[in-house]
Amino acid sequence: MCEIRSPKDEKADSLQPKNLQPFVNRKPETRDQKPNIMKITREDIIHVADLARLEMDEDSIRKFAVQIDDILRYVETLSNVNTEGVQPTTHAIFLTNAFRDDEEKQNFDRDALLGNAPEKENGNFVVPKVVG
Amino acid sequence: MKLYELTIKEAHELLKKREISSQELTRAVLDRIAAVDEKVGAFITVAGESAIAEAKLADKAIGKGDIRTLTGIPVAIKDLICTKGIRTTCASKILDNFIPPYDATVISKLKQEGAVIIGKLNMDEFAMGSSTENSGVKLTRNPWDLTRIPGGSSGGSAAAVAADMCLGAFGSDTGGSIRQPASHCGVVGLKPTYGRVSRFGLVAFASSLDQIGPLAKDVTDCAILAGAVSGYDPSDSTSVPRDVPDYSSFLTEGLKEVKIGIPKEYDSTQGLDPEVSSAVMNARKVMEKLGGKCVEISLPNTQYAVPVYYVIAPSEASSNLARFDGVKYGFRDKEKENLMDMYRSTRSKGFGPEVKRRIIIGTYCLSAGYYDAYYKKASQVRTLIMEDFRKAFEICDLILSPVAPTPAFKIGEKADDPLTMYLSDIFTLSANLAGIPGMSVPCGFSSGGLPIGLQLMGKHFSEEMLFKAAYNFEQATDFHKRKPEI
Repeated sequence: MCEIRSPKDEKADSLQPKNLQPFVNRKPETRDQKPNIMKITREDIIHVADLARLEMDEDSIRKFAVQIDDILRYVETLSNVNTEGVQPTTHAIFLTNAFRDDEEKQNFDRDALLGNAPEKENGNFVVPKVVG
Repeated sequence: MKLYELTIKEAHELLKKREISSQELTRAVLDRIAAVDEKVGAFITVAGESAIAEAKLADKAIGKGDIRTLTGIPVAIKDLICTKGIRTTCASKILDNFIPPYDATVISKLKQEGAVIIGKLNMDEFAMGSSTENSGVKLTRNPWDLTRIPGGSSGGSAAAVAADMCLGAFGSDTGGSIRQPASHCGVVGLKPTYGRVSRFGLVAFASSLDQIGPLAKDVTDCAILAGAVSGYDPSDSTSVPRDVPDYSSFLTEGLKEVKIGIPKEYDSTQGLDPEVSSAVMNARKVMEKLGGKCVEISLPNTQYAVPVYYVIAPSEASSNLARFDGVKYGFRDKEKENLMDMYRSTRSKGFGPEVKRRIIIGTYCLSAGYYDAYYKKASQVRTLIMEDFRKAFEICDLILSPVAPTPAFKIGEKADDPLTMYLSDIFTLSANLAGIPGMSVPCGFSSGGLPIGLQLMGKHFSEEMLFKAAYNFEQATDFHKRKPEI
């Protein structure tokens, strides 16, 4: 597998540009306005990968930064569309809430569901230590 | 005729007359897989033993006179639909050892109809891709040209049907993943209306777009398979309680008074191959000869389907794929001694590059400060795309377009350029965004002998109209009769 590097890796930090604006404050801009500024930087990739519980080696970070930047620039074409007053769609079919009676029933056998667990004990999933 | 070359309808007639048994048919298909899948690579798992057992049961039922259209028919399933007791990997290392403890609703329905589940098919990992090259398991090749991709993400499904390694197959379609490979492999594929087929037991990619559908050798078989799995399911809160018409009863001649919309924007689409364009133009003429009336329509926001999709789909995926954390099922990196390290390491080793790329895009689009600019904006433009279709369907009954801008491309050609790969979905994405049904039907061949597909799209829950139009088109042409030499 690839080399695992922590997002907090010192070497990675040293490559960050100085005076980086806080991640949350930077607003997307179109390519026309700022042709030389990446929409997504390697620092963003590291931050977002951390949120998504992913680790990446330096090569993948660099590659992703370029590829995802391309994709986000393309996505920027959406800023040409006037969406003032347009309701967002999250679901293409009109459906109201699907209710059912709150009846107790056993859908699955506990052991069958635990059958795929990487580690289990006494009918429970086992995970590594959570707090030290 | 070789048994594996039969259509479902033909095999059903022979089974009914007891001229063949399901065991003979199933063995013929298993032998076919053994003979050609080494070259094509469509299957991740061949369930030979259980298939023969199911075929025996089918023969017993037929012996008692209990035969339905799918009784004893070998079908294959994309490897992201849960099959009880048969490994379901999503073509991902993270689910490499996952054996579902239950059947997806479509599988229960197929079993009730007496179908034989012959195996599980290759795909892009978690259905993310348009070429099946993103599979974490293996490469699938196009049966028409083994140096080319079969399309994706249901590439294994389309290749298996095209190469006669099953009589029909099921795939899933989030942005074209049934229609595009069907087009590239010269088979018929349907993405039903969102909510038409239960998604219970389908491993989720983008929940507001995903839909299960059939891939088949012809329109008649496609209608049979679609009818078998459609309908309301209380286990899927997004499935729609609405009666399912008998699709096969719509396979009758005549397109008189059917209004076919031709989007004026599509012909000028950048990257549209002239051979694809002319095959689709020719299909339009065939439809007119059959009595269809073509009308020009406008779908002005279609050009935004790709950027809208590549915000919405990764956003939903980043949320859906949070469940793969090494706790309940699948791969776990057992070396790690605390929980957070275990999560990170498991997911980093378990997911392939395209899945990670989309998780990162999705997480970014949903993250603080970016949500309005990306996710909300995309969801608003989605409304405009739906509105385009609503207006178009005021003046037409169905819409005719290409499925993919080019025939199947070479393996490796777009592998390093995700954006170019995404652009190949331009004609199919909008049906998922709008929730409408879309179908791919063979409509020609390139000068290099590669299949070209025609897309038909209809109003919500108008699958029967698509089947009728596609059936008439198929009767008037013979593209579906050609077979690849492997």
